Amino acid sequence: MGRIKFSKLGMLCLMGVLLGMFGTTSAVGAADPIKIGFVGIMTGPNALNGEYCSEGAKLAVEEINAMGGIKPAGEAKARPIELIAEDDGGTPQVGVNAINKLVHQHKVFAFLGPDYSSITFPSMFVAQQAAVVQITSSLAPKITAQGNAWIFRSRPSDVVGAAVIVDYFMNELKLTKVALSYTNIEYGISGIEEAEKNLAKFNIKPVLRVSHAAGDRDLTPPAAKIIESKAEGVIDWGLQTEASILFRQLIQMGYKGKLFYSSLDDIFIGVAKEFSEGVLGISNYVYTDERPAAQKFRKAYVARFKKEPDLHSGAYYDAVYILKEALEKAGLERVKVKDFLHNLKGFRKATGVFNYDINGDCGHFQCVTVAKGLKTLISKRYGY
Amino acid sequence: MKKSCGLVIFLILLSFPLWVPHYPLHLACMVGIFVILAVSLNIVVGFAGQISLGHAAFFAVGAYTSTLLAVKWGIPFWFGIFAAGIVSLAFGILLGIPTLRVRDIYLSVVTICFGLMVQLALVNLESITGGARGIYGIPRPAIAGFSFSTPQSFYYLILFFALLTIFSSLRLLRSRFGRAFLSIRENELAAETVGIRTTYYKILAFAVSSFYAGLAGSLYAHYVSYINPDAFTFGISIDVLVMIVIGGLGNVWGSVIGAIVIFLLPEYLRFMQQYYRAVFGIGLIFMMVFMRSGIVSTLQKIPWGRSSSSRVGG
Amino acid sequence: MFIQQIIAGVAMGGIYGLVALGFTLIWNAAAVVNFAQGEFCMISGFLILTFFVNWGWPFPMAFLISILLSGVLGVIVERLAIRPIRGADPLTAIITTLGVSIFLSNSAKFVWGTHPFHFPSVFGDKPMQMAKITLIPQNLWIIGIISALVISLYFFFFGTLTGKVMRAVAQDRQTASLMGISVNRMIGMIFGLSAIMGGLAGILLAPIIYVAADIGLPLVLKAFMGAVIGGFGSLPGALIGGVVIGISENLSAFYISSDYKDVISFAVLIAILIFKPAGLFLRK
Repeated sequence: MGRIKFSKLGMLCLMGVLLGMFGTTSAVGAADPIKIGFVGIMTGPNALNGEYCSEGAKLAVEEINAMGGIKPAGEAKARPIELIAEDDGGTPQVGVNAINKLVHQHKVFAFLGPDYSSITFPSMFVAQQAAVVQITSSLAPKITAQGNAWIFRSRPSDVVGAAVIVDYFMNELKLTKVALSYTNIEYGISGIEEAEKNLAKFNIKPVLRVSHAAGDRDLTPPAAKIIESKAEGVIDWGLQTEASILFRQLIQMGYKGKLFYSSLDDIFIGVAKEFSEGVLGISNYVYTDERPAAQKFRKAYVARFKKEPDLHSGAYYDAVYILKEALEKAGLERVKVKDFLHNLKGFRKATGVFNYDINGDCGHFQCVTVAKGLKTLISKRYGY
Repeated sequence: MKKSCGLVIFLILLSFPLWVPHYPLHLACMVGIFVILAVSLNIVVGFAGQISLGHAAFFAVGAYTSTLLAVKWGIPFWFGIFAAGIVSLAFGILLGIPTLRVRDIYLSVVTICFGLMVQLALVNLESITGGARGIYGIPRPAIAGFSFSTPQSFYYLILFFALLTIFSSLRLLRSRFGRAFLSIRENELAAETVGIRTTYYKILAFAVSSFYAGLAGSLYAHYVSYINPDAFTFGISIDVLVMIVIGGLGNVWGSVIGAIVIFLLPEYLRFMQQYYRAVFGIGLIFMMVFMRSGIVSTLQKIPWGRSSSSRVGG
Repeated sequence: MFIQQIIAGVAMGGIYGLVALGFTLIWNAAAVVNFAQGEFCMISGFLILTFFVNWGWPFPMAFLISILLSGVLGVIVERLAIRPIRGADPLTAIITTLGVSIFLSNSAKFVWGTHPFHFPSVFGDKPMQMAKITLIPQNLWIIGIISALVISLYFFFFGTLTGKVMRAVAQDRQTASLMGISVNRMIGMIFGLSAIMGGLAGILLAPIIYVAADIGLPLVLKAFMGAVIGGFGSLPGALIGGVVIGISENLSAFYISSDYKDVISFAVLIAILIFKPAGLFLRK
């Protein structure tokens, strides 16, 4: 081993390879369509999440294009939307790359996503530095607490969610002994912190605080600890699979208290099956919602994708329409769109009513939901 | 002739930020970091013949050292990266110590555990490392008011350290240390018999290798300005191992090529979408069956044209 | 509670030990560290999910066919990926089996999907009380099945001709082939047997940790650790090593913290290797 004796031809080949690898530019898109980016989980164990998100966005884009597209303020003709999707693989490392691609290579006007707070939070600076509008469905509170003018939410943050569920536990269920459980990721940690803050407002200290790692599949130890703590109710904040395993363990070990899971959706129900019965959750949208706008969205979604929408689908559907509204009223200038969004109030669509503020938070609409018969039903509404 | 070709390639690399677009340049920066990782792992696995499956640990230690120094105590990058190398080196020695008692397959299990332990420690020692949430807002290196905040500028930093690692590695190989490593790799027992202090050299190999991996970690942290334990998984250790095996064990330039190929492969095979990883698996099997000594030596075996007779001058 | 955790640990550890057994068999016979061992568990989990849950076959039939198909998979893997690299250095074998593992787990993803599936417990997961201890029947069944398997394996390897031939191949390939034994066929069969053991482990595991495409690698790492703790190459060692890991995990998760259970397993491994560098049951 040691020296390489390449001939001239070999060296030229190598140089060609190097140049080829770095010199490619993406073809500049036709000036006609408005490019909207989407970043979500398309591969990996949580890809079902990304499926729901992207489908919501796709449905909106297709509907809008069928009606002729968007006519930005100050332009004469309507233009179709081109949805460009990149995979964030569920991890920040891939996510940052994906967003970089959307912003710098595809040069999108604005983009939607990511969903996972653990990806959004560290990658927010990309859109900020490039002055591109980003509408995320992530829930961690600190995303809108960084002074970043370009980030917007499509769902109310966990500040709202935690307040709602604690209020429900205290006022509706009248529980006093609460155990907190969470997945050790940004979303879980910040959610449980909010829950604790809200419990403190009622002067309640949790009887137990226990965590598990993302990807952990054996949750007997936290389940056993919860049972030992004699908690009347459990608040779990984190990923679907882990939550369903935990709850199954609890039920099998004979636990009879109230179970709450922060992201009660079809993914959770699909994994937990009959163990989801009676589990409480929070959501900004459920497909069983009877509001006309919600039902209209649901019908269109079922017709297009042959399955019921989940709360993620709704968030992305509405986000596209929010962008449409902004483009139509403020025109094709990013700064104007950003300013418009900060002042957007009373915008109603499938999931609820959006009232944006200077931080990018979108308002206070939440429901406490309950799973019954493998469906999610609304138990109580807050702020609609 | 070889030298002038090398010079041309070097000049082309130097010119990248002038004409390569933003996203591919960002890829080039990431590739550079992995080149450092690959070349450094090669010192332990390729030169000294020790199977190390925990290299991500040193990458992580370097990244977190430099990050904590910068974020918690405002220590500039130039000192931070050096500290990162030293602390990683210390960890490398730590991993080298079990080699006193443990060999071969047993050693490889210990390296796996070491890598996983470091990652778990990063997740659980929340007060120091920020836990699973990681640390964000890592400052970009700055010098006299100029900040390396774009891929265009950071690229040169990475290029510098990559070349540093490559050429040190080449020199190491040709030195007496390199010869000692190789003899340990070929036959450890025989090496001991002729008086080579194998334990000393094995620990040295781990130390040097981890030093460079620490540098790579620091560069990585300051470039992406956010780190969390998920960036330093067993999967990363495996990726780097695959890079050096594909390139050819013990072959420094092979590691460079291996790093480039393995890192860029998913970008270029994006059309395969979710089938990519499965194809990658088959690719690995295929490479091991047909090209197990690596891309470079396989390429060397192909007669590229009457090279020796048609060469004129240098 | 303590007894309950120990029993759960022994059950889980028995499963790890089962995977470690298959892993060690392959190492002994072919000098290959089989990183794909966990994938046999993963695939059999999906197979029995499809047969029993989705297609409604009776459990014993689904069970037998899943195990048999796992065995077939093992033979195929050996023929296509392992035999071509026979005799290569350990690193080549590691990369090859990693390639097999990556291929199998990603293929499973597009056949069955990326998210985990719930598998109903056939052996009963309702706890029952016996003297002051809560017992979960499933754990007892697991311990029982694995014990039965170990005893059958003992009889197989020491009582039957095929078993003895396998042991011969594992002990010394060259001499065995000189004696007229078809080493290739035997190694293929050993892979098949290993895969069957992995398949059984996967089925026992399914109701406990769900069926998913990504369970293979963590499982094989634990099996590797167990095999090393017990003395790499020793079959009883592999089983015991697996049980050690199972118990250590359960106890540390319950009494210390879930977060540290893996770190403690690693620490246990490193401690054992420092005192007995060849593992518990082997002389150096």
